[in-house]
Formats: sequence, structure tokens, C-alpha cells
Amino acid sequence: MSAVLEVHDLEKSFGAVVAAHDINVVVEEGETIGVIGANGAGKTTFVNLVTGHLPPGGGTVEFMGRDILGLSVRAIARMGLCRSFQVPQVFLSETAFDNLMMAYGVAEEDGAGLLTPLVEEERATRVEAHLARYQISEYRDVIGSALPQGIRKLLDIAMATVRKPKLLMLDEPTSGISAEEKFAIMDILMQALREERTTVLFIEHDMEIVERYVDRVLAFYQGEIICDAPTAQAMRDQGVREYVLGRRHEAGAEARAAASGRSSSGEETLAVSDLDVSIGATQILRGVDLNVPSGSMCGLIGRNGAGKTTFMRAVMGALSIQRGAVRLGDVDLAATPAHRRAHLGIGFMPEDRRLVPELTAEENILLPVWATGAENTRARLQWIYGLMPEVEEFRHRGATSLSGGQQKFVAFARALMCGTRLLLLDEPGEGIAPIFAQRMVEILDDLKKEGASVLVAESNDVHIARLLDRTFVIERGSIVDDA
Amino acid sequence: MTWRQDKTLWGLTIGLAALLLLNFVVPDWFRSILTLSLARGSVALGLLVLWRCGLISFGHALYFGVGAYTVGLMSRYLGITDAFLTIACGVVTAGLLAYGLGFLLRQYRGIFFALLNMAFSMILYGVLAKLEELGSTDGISLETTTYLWYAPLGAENKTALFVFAVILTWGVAVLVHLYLRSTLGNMTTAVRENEIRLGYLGYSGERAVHAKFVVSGLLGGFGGAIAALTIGHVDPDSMVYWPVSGDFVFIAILSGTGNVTAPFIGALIYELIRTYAFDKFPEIWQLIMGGTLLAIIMFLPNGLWSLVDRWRGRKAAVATLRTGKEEA
Repeated sequence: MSAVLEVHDLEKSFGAVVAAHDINVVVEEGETIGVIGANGAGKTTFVNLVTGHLPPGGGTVEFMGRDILGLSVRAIARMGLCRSFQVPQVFLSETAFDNLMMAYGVAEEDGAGLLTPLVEEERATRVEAHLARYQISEYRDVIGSALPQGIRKLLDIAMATVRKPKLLMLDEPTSGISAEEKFAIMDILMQALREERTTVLFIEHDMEIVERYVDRVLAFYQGEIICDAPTAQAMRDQGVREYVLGRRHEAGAEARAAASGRSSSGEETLAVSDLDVSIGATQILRGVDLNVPSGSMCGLIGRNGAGKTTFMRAVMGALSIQRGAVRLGDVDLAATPAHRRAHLGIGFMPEDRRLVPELTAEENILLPVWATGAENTRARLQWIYGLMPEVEEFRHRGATSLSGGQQKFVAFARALMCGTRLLLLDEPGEGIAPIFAQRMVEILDDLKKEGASVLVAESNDVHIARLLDRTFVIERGSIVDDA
Repeated sequence: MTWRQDKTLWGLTIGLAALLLLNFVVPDWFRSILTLSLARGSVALGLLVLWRCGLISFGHALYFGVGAYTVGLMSRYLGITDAFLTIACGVVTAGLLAYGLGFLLRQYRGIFFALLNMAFSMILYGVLAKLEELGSTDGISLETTTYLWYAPLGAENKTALFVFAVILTWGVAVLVHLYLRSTLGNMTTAVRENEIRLGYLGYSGERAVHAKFVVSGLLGGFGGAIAALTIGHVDPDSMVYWPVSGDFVFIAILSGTGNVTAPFIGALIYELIRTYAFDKFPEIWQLIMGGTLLAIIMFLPNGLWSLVDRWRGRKAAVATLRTGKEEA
């Protein structure tokens, strides 16, 4: 056996986030390798770095004994290192046949033959054979956008194998495929790849798939490889159990917490230290330290422009951070992409409400659930309506027909829907009638009794002072008082 | 597909024959409309090449103008009037310019691509309109065209130019048709929809765009050179100013991207509508042009060629119906 790919000391960071650190991997010819790790662990980044999609920060990458660091995606693809995508990248308005035909045309001609036709009989035969090998011949004339997800995935992989790559990297080949289909599709795939004698490295979350098809496992955690071992051994590894497999367990606990509406126990729900955030060239936050203990209600008090909204947006990932650490429980938020943060149980109520005007109040409230797929939606919704009976009354009205105060309540309810661990409320009392403001205080009081972890931003604390366990006063982007 | 089975090649060749026969019956003014249609059609064909991969240029008068002015300047300063040589030079100059600008333009897509092209065309307009040496706003008048050793005069020259232009355009259209069937020519949806995938297949989207841009620049230069010879005069306002680029886009929309013959048919219809509208309704001719464009966009959003596709579709449907009946 000889090494197909040798990676040494690979490094990459995005701002303060380390996406790859000290990565050393040797892939031997004929191996099937599984790459596992939680979301944001750096798996896709690894593939992007090796295939030339992202420039590495340092290290060496050798493919078939040649240094490929700094080469373009197409140069590397031509050498025989190809990949498929998490979200299938096929030409959506062309048929499966035409998709593969283009792949063959590019592979066989390098686009040089200006006047020789792309479609010719012999090439068409090869395309048909390729479709047959991946068992998608019956979808030959179906356009990409109309293909079922699993078939589109197979087509995507089939296109990546047209060059008969020495090494093929597959990014989550079974994601988005139903549990019933997954083994059938993997069987087709692995058989086709064996016929083509391809060395395969694939990213996978499904441990059943990993245990069944993979010889060796690379486990990623926070940009580093924490385990590189044969599959069975890796599954017993302490680090893998804790940082990769443990996630499942934690997700279950989160779902249970969601049902009861209580946060999971832990000392600090939100822990922020030394946070710097700039918008354009202007630095807004300077070294902010702020902790929200679990089950407490904290205030972030400061006048307009002090940095309250910026702080909340940075925690949610709407703004990128320049320096500092943001943790939710034991999860590093800085390393978690913005769209995954709502999944962790953070609810954010923006100051300007931001409802979807075309939807009703209730549809707006349920919106985060569509994205996060949280369980026990009904129970949670009933619990919210229990807190805010007035919202239940107008739940079927369109968002645009609601008053500003009512919209504020809907935004609040929406934040509660996914905010099982932490609520970030940006000026809940701002711009609404006193009677509504009074109700808002009552609701916060109820929430406090329920034991929720809340951070409320307000320009003054006269209404809510008695509710607050702790008050952070913010001025010109720094916390000046903490009591 | 073999040459004999290719309907487009047959269509082009029949068109060639028909135009050559028409030469004997049409009046002079119509012959000049036909020649101009071939010229503008060629530029619109260049737009078609770009359009298929989702790009539109609002500045193709640049290549049209470079082609035309190359012919004009060769006539004025070098005394070269040979059609073969001047057209070849016009095409090559426009192609070289497109090749150079392509290094910048291939990085842009959408409206940025469209408007950058317009910006470059307006730079050329400014230079041509200001410089006395290049004819300023008055332009340059051409000496009588010659064809190798053949130097006809008067009406005979017009006829000669027409025959010459028809044959050359036929050759150009055939070449473009063959190009569009090739792998690079087919790289249209690939560029339009997913350049990342194209990169991982092993071809650069930018390089594909660059190649298409050069092809369309060559076609622009060809159209310009033919137009210069037909009109016998080049000037910035009718050849390089931005509304001229608009005319090409108009023709491209009118024609549709279905086939290489479409831009020539579209250009002829465009010339006819414009000539008649200008002649019969001089006050509102722009309104008629605008109305035509509006009607095309509303009722034939894929251009005139979609009529042909529709007709073929019906024929295919009827054919299946018949075979179905026979089987039953």
C-alpha cells in the first residue's frame, strides 16, 4: 500500500475561530475512511482545505506524492482528488443524463475541442453505463430540480467520480436521506466505488453507517483530530464517546428540557469574556465580560448606542466577533455557525420585532420550530399561551394587522418557542403603551418564577429593577457596573 | 449527430441559397436592409452566446464600433479597401480587445457584467467623438470597396457586397453552431447555475466565460465591419453610442436564444419594423419600437424562436398521438 494523501500540520482559522489545528492524516490506497464529529468540528473545512476550495493557514498537503498546497480546485480535481457535496451540487435545470454528459465532456476534453461536439454516440454509451452503475438509469431524463433527494445525492457523487478519482471525498452522503433509504443508497454507492477502485473518505453523522462501511475513523473536535483509529476501536475511545457520540445524549436532554420549559442545570448559562465586536471600522464592544447564571434574570442597562443590541446580535451570530469567548453552558458559541445557535435553545427577541408580515401571529411563533425541528411543539405553545393569554386571542390574525405592542408580544412568544435555555430580550418595553409595558413586566415575573435564564436589555431599569438578580450597566461598549 | 442530420445546418444552407436568389429580385433599398440585418444579426448572435450562460452585455456597440472603425481607418490612412483584408482586421482587432478586457470582465456576473461593458463602450465613444484624427463626431467616409482584384462600381458594388456578406455570414453562423455543440459551447447551464460544481469537475467558470466573451467580441467585430462596408461611412453616434448596444439587446430579446439562425431573423424583423415605423409614423416611431419590445416580453418571453419550438412540440405531440393510435 502507498499513501494517496498526506496531510501534515494543517492549520486554518476564521477570525478568532480555529477551524483546523495540527491536522495530521495519512490516507493509504484502498482505504475507506469515516470522518465524524459534531457540527462545527471542522470536518467540511478539512475537505475544503485539502481540495483547494479554501486556502490553508499553514501546513503541507501532498497528493500522490505531489505538493498540492495552493493549487486551484480544478487543478486538484484534474489530478484525481474529487469530492461530493453536503447539499448536492447538480445543474438543476438539466437532466441527469445531461449533467453527467457535461461532467464527461469536461473530463475527457478539458474543454479544448472548440468545434467537436459534446454529445456523441460513444460518450453517450459511457454516460448510460455510468447511470446504470449508480442505478439511476430510470431518472435519465428527469431534470435535477425534480430528482428525489437520494437520487440527486447519487447523481452528485456519480458526477464526482467521472474522472475516476484516486481519492474521493464525500460530504455527508446520507444527510437528507430517509432512514429507510440510507442503507440501500450506501450499498449502491459503495459497490460502485469498489468497482472503480476508489479510495474513499466520507464525512458522516450516522454511526450505523460509519460502523457498517468504514475501516478507519477520524474524529474531529473543535478543529482538531482527537482520534484516528480503526472503527471498532474508535467507537470505544473515551474522547469520541464524550465529544462526538455524547452529543446525541445531550440533544435528548435538551428536548426534555424543552418540554418542561426549564433550562438544563449548569452554573453559567451564558458566559462571555473579553468580547470585542466591530461593525465596519468602528469598534462597538470593548472587552465585555458578562455572565448569566443559570435560572437568573439579568439586566443589561445602558442608553441608546451603548452596545446592547450589538451584544445580543453578536451572541446570536448576526455579527462576527473579533476577540473574546462566548459560551452557552459547555458549548463554544463562537465556533457554532449562527444558524445552529437557535438549535441550542437560545431565544432572541429583536428590538424591532421582525415578524414575517405574510404569516399569522401563531405561524410567526412557530417559525423557529420549522427550522430547529424541536419536539413537543404543542405543549410548548400551550405553555406560552398560558403565560400570555392575550396572544392566544389574536393568534390567527395576520402579523401586519397587529398593533406594535401586539407584535412585540408575538416576537416575545417566538423567542420563548426556541429559548429553552436562554432568552435574550432586546428592549421588550420599548415603544409600547404603558399598559402593555406593565403586562410585559408581569410576564417576566412569571418567567422568573418558572426559573428561566433571561438577559433583558433596557435603557433604564425602573420597571424591571425588582425582578433583576443582577444588573450590568453598559456604557460606550464596556460594562462599567456589575451588581 | 452527423452533418446530414443537423437541421440547423440545413436551415442555414437553405437560407444562404434563398438570399442569393433574392439578390436578383429585390430592390436596392431592401438589399441594403438585408445586409444590415446580417451585420446586426451577427452581433446579436454574439449576445446569444453570452446569454445562454446567463450573461448580458449593455455595451456590445464597443466591438461593433471597433470592427467598423478598423475598416474605416484602414480605408482612410492606409488606402486599403479590400473587403477580405479589412473585415479580417476588424474581426481580429475586436477579438483582441475582448480578450484583453475579458481578464477583468470574467470576474463579474449579472448587472455588473452588463454595465461594465457599457462603461467600456462609452470610453470608446468618448475617444472617437473627441479625436479629430479619428473623424470626431463627423466620422469617416470609406473609399469604394474592392474584392481582391475585382473592383466593381455603383450598383454592381452593392450587389457584390451583398453576395460577399451572405456567404461570409453563412460561414460564421456554421462555425458558431459547431462551437455551441462542443463541450465548451455547451457549458452554459453549468456556468449559469453552478460554477462551484464546474470547478470541481475540473473546469474554471471564469475561463469558460472568457472564451465565450472572446467569441462574442469576434462576432461583434464582424458585424461592425460588414455594417461599415454597407453604409460606406462610420461615425460614433450611430455605431458606438449606448443606444446602439440597446438595439442589439432588443434584437436578442426579439430573437430568443433557441438557435443560431434566430438572431438573423430577429435582426431582419427589427430592421423592417424600424424602417417602416420611421417612415410612416415619424412622430411616434419610438413608441412603436417600445410597444413591440413590450409585446414580445409579455407574449413571447423566449423570443421568436419559441414559436418554432412550439410548432415542433405540436408536431411531436401529433406524431406520438398517431403512433399511439396505430399501436391501439
